[in-house]
Amino acid sequence: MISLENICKRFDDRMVLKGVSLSLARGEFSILLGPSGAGKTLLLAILAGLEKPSSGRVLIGGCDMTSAPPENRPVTMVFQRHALFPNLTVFENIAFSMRARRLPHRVVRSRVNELLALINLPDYAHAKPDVLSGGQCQRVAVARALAADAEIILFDEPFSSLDRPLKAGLLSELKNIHRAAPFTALYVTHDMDEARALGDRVHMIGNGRITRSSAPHSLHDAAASVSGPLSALSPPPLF
Amino acid sequence: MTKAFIRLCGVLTALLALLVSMALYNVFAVSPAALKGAWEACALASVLAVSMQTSFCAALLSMIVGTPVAYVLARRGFPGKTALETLLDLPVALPPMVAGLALLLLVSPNSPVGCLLAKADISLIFTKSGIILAQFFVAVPFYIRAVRSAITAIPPSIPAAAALLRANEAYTFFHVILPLSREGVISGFVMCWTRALGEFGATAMVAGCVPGVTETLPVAIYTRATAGDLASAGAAAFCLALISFLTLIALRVAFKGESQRRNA
Repeated sequence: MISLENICKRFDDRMVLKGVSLSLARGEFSILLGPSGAGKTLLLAILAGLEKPSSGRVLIGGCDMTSAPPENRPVTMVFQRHALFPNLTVFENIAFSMRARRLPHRVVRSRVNELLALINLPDYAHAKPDVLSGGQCQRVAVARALAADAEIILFDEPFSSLDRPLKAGLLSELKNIHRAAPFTALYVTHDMDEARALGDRVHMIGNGRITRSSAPHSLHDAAASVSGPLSALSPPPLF
Repeated sequence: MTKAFIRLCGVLTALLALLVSMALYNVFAVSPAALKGAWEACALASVLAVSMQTSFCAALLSMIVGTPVAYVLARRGFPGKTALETLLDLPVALPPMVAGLALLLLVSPNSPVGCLLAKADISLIFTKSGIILAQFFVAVPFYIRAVRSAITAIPPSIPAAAALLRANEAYTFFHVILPLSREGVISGFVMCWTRALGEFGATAMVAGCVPGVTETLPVAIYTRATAGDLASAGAAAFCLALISFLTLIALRVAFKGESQRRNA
């Protein structure tokens, strides 16, 4: 069980998160849905330990992890721009966390090959990230996160820069991966279709607060009843 | 207006190129026979050897000390950071003779540091170690600047991703940060080495000019030229200019391929 208790975050005189409380059940794929600037990525950074909250607590498995550094938390993240290590091959990227934990070479090799098969990139083991497409990079980033054996995987709009058909394929792949090896996930998006396709539960954030938590199928009802934050979900007009 | 501005830029560029070419012409226009004669008469080989040994050691020392310093300055915020950055940059702005005098006073037998060094039987004045110290002092900021810029250019999500993959900071430094800063490390090393190779003021103050022991190329140019031996001074200047020129070309060729790969 992962709980965020009354998280507040202030930058100078601007309060970005205003008492966010959230619970994620083990193995659940949760979505954090909200418009740009709502504080979604900031909340992920606080959960990951990349940012410190101004107040509030982060509890993971009952332990207070509010002040724990990122490397000591059972949390990993798939970044919006994948953040693959450009100096390492696909194999080395996926093996990174296992090698950092000094797992035996044999275990590392077998696990990486397993993950390469899972993301359908077995022929790219020795390729550097700069020769991969955006979609392939994100698949490697997902495999790298799975290799970390973390209790929680955070996804920061990982497919937002991809075109729609590619995104649909990757969402379905991610859903299958989660079905095969259930991990606790918090997936940030501003796209309601993504939220519906992936989520076991959807938490809506707006104006620095969780405005509603519901099952994905009731998103339409929410859209109808909560006009504020959801109206901001659709892209703003250009002119 | 635009045309006039572009013409002005072109004229100024041409004038600068002309000035550099004319000045360097006199250094490079040495006949091979004159070079050979001066080389043998003035034992320039040993002067060159002293210069190469000491400048390489100074650059290596800068790399060993400067890399962690650059990392801390690039990745950490702490009270007094700006003051520390200014302090570490000071040798660049400091006149070399002032730097040399400061070092001389620091390691002189009457100073506390000099006493400690004497007890440890370490002598820095009028020795090659003194040259290395002077060159290191003057050149290390160049290395720190280059590596710091390279580390700062790494997107913050890269070290964040490494931390979230359970890698400690040391593991991330050696497996991600340092390889990604390779270009900065190499160019910083070369800049630092060429600066050390050309160092005169501080070196002369700390190590003096003991022929065959502490005589470096810049010191040799000065002593020979002031003694009226312009042929020997010219030969030493030719060596120094040639090394700098070849180093610059090597660096450009090495990084041309790298930047082409990056832009592809």
